[in-house]
Amino acid sequence: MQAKSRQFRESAKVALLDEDLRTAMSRAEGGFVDTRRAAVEELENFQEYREFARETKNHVLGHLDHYLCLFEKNATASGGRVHWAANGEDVNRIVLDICNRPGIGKITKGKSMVSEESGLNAALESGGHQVVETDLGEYIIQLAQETPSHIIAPAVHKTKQAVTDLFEEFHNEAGYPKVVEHGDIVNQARQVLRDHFCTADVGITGGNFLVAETGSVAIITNEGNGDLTATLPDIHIVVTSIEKVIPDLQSLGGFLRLLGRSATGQVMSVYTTLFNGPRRAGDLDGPTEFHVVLVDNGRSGVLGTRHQDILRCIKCGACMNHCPVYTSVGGHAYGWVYPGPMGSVVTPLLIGRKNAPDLPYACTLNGRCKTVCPVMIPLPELLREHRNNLVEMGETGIVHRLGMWAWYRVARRPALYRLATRLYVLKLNLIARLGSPFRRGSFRSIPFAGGWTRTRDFPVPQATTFQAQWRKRGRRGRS
Amino acid sequence: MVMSKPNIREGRGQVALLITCLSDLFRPRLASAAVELIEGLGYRVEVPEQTCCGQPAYNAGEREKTRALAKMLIDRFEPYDYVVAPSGSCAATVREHYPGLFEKGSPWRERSRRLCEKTHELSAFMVDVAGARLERKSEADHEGLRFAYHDSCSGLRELGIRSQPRRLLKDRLGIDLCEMGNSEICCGFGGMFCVKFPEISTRMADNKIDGIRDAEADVLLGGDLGCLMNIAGRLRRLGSRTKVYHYAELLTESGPGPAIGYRD
Amino acid sequence: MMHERVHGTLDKVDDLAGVPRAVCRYLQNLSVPLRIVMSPDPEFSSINWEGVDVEGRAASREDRCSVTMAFAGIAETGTVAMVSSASSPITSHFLPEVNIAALKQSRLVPAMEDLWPLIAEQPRTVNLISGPSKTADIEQTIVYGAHGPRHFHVILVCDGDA
Repeated sequence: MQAKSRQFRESAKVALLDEDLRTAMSRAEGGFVDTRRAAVEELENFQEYREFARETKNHVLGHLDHYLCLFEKNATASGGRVHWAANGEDVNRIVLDICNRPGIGKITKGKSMVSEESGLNAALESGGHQVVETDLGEYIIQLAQETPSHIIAPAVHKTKQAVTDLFEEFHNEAGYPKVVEHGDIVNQARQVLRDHFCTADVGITGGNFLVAETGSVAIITNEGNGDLTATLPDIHIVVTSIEKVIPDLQSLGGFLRLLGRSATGQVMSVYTTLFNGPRRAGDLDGPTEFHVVLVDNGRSGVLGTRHQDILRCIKCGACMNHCPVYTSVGGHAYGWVYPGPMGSVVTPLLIGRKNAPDLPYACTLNGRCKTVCPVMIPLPELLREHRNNLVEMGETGIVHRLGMWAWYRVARRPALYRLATRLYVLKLNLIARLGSPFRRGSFRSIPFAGGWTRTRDFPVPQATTFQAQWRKRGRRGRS
Repeated sequence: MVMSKPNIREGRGQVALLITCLSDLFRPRLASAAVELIEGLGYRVEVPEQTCCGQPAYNAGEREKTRALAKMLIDRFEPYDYVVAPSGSCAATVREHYPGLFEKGSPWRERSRRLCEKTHELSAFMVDVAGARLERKSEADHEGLRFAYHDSCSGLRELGIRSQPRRLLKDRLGIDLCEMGNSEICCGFGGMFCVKFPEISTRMADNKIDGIRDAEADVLLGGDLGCLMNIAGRLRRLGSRTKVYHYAELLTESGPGPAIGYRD
Repeated sequence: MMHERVHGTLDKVDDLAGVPRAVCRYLQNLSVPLRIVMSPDPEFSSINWEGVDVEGRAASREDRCSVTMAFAGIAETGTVAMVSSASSPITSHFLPEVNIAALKQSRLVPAMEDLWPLIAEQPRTVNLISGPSKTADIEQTIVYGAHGPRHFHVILVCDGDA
C-alpha cells in the first residue's frame, strides 16, 4: 500500500472538515468504549490476564525463531504448506504463484490487515483475478475504493446513508432493490456475497493467532465470513505476520478473554476457529490445499530494540477507540495500514521514520490507550522513543529545532530565564495595553502565536512573574 | 539561590514549591494559592530559583536537553523534605520520568529516584501526605453555581489523582461536582501538540466543551494550567460564560481572583 | 452455561431421543419447514426422526436448517465446540440460516482450558461457536445473520453423566 503518512497534517485538516466522518466517529467511539468497559468489569481478574498476555508474548518474542519453526513443523505435519515472506513483494509473489494456474479466477478474502501492507488485492487484480472482500466492512470500502480506517471496523468512517448509496450504485444492475435499514443492508450483502463464497476458487484470510504447539491457525470473526472463505474454495491461503505466534493451546484462552472484550466488548467473539491443514480423507468439505504465508515485512528488525513491545499487539483496536486524536481525524489521515496509537508506533517502524515524521507527534501523550491495551504496550513511551529517534536523526523540521534551541537556551540559565520571562510578561502586558480593545483580560491574537490564537484566546498575564513577586516579598521579609 | 528567610521555622518540614513555568509566567496567583495552602498545613514553603522541569523537551524527544534541566532541578530541589507542584504533568515528569533519564548505576539515577519519592502534585500532597482536613468556607460566594472538574491526563493516569481534588473541594466549599461524561478525556492541550496540530487540538477542546455544556457547568476546575488555559481560551473565543480556575485557587482563604482569561 | 448471553437460545431434553421433538418445536416456532440437513453422526442416525425430513450430509447453500452434534460446550462463554471429521462437516455450521446443535451435558466443561485435553488429536478444524452470526460494521448497530446462521439454538441433552 502506498504510504501517505508524510501528509498526516494536511489529511487531518481535511478530515476535520468532514461532517459525516464526525458523525460516524462519535457514534463509534461511544459504542466501543462503553461496551468494552462493561465487558472488562465483568471479568474479575482482567488485569491478571493482561499480565499473563504480556509475559507470554514477551517470552515468545524472545524466542521467536524457535516458536515459528515449531509452528512450521507442526503445520506442515498436518498437511499445510508454510511460506516465508521477508517483505511485501514476497507476499504478493507467493500468493500469485499459488493462484496463477488454469481455472482460478475468483478469490474471496476474509479480513487481513497484513495483506494491506503489500497491496495484495491490487497485485491479484493486475494478475487477472477477481478479488471479493467478504467482511461486511471490508466489502463496503472495497466498493468505495477506499482502504480500512480501523483495524477491526474497516468502514467505521461510513454512515449508513453512505452504505445505502454504495449498494444502490453497485447492486442495482443485478436487480437488487435500494436498502436503507441496517437489517436490509446486511441481508442484501449476505445474498450478494453468498454467490461469491460459493463460486470462489481461492479463499484468503488473515490469522489472529498461530499456535506453535499444534501448528494451528486461529481465525476469529463475528460474521462467519472467515470460515466460509476458508472452507468453501478449493484453496485456503492464510496471510499473517510472524508476531502472531503463541506457544500453545493452553495460552490461547487467556488471549481470547482479552481480545473479545477489548475489541468489541464481547466475552467471546462468535466464531473462533482453529485450522489444521487441508481436507482429510473422508472429510465432506474443506479445501484441498492449505497455505500459510508468514510475513516479516520489517518486524524482525524491531526485535531487540526499544520498540519491541509493539510486537505484542493483538490488533484489538482498543487503543484507537480510546484515542481522542484518532476519533477526531479518523483512520485515513494516518496514511498507511494501521491508524491510531498502535499505528503511530508501528508505521514508522515498518515504512521508515522519515516517511512518517508527524505520526509520533500526533499524540498528546494522554495515556488513555496504554490503560486499555490488553497486552500492556506502553504506547506513549514508544511514541516518545520515536521522537527521541527523530531528534537524533535531525528529522524534526526547522521550526521545531529553532523553537527548542531558543527555549532551551533560556531554560538552562536561571539568570537569563529570570530576565527573559520578566521581559516577556512585560511585553505581553504592553501589547495588551496598547492593542485597542484590552477588553477581556485575554488576547485574540499574539504575534508568532497563531497556532494558539487562531482558535483560542490567550490570557493576559499578571504584571510580574511569580518568582519576581516572591523575591520582592522575600526582601521585605516574610513571616 | 533560595529566596526566603534563612531561619527555618519548626514545623512539619520544608516544602520546595515547583511553581511550573506556566504559573510563573501567566498565573502567579496560582502559585500564591499553592503557597498559602501548603503553609496552612504547617509546612515551611521555599521557592528555589527555578526554570522548567524539562517536560517540553522530554516530550519533544530531546533527551539530552531534558537531562541537563533535570540535573539542574535535582540540584536545587533535593535539599528539601518535599517537592510540591500545582500540576499533575510537572509532578509526573519528575516522579515518573526523571529516573529513566539516567543510566542504571549512575549517581544521578539514585539522586533522581530519591527526589521523585518526595515529589507530589499539590492535591495529592495535601490529602495523601499531609492528611489535610480543610475547614468549610461560607457558601455565599458560590451558592447556586455548578462546578465541573476536568481530570488532566498526566495527573490522572500517571499519578492516579482523581479523588484528592474532589475531596478538598467538597471539604472546603461543600460542593458536589456535576461530573462531565468526558471528564477523563484529553482536552487537546498536550504541550507542543496544541501548536503543532492546532486544528486537531481545537476539535478536542470543542469536544471537551460539549461535555461542559452537557453538564451545564458555570465553572470548570482542573489541576493543570496548560489544560485550563487551552479550555478557557477556547471557551472565551466561543463566547461562553463558563469560568475556568485551578482548583487550588478556590481553596484559599480569600477565594479566587479573576478567572483564567479575565482581567484583574 | 452463558449461552443466552451470547444471544443463542437453549432448550433441554432428557436424552438423545428427545432431540427430534425439540428440533420440531424450535423450527415450528420460527415457522421454518421441518426439513433439515443433519451431520452424518452415528448417534443421530440411531434415533428416530419421524416427522422431520432429514438428510445426513454436509450442508449446501440451499439448506435452510442444519442440526449438528457438539463435541463439547464451554460454560464460561456459552460456547459450543465443534470438531471436524467425516461425520461432522464444517459447512453445516455456517451455510444454513438456522443452526441447531445438540450438546450432551456430560460434555460441558467450565472453561476453554478444559476443552483442549479432551481433544486427543488435532482435527482439521475446531470451531468454537458463541451465538448466531452477527455484524456491527454499519454504525455500530448489531444485526444478526451476517453471513452465517441468523439463529443458533442449542439443545442440551441431559444425559445423566454430568
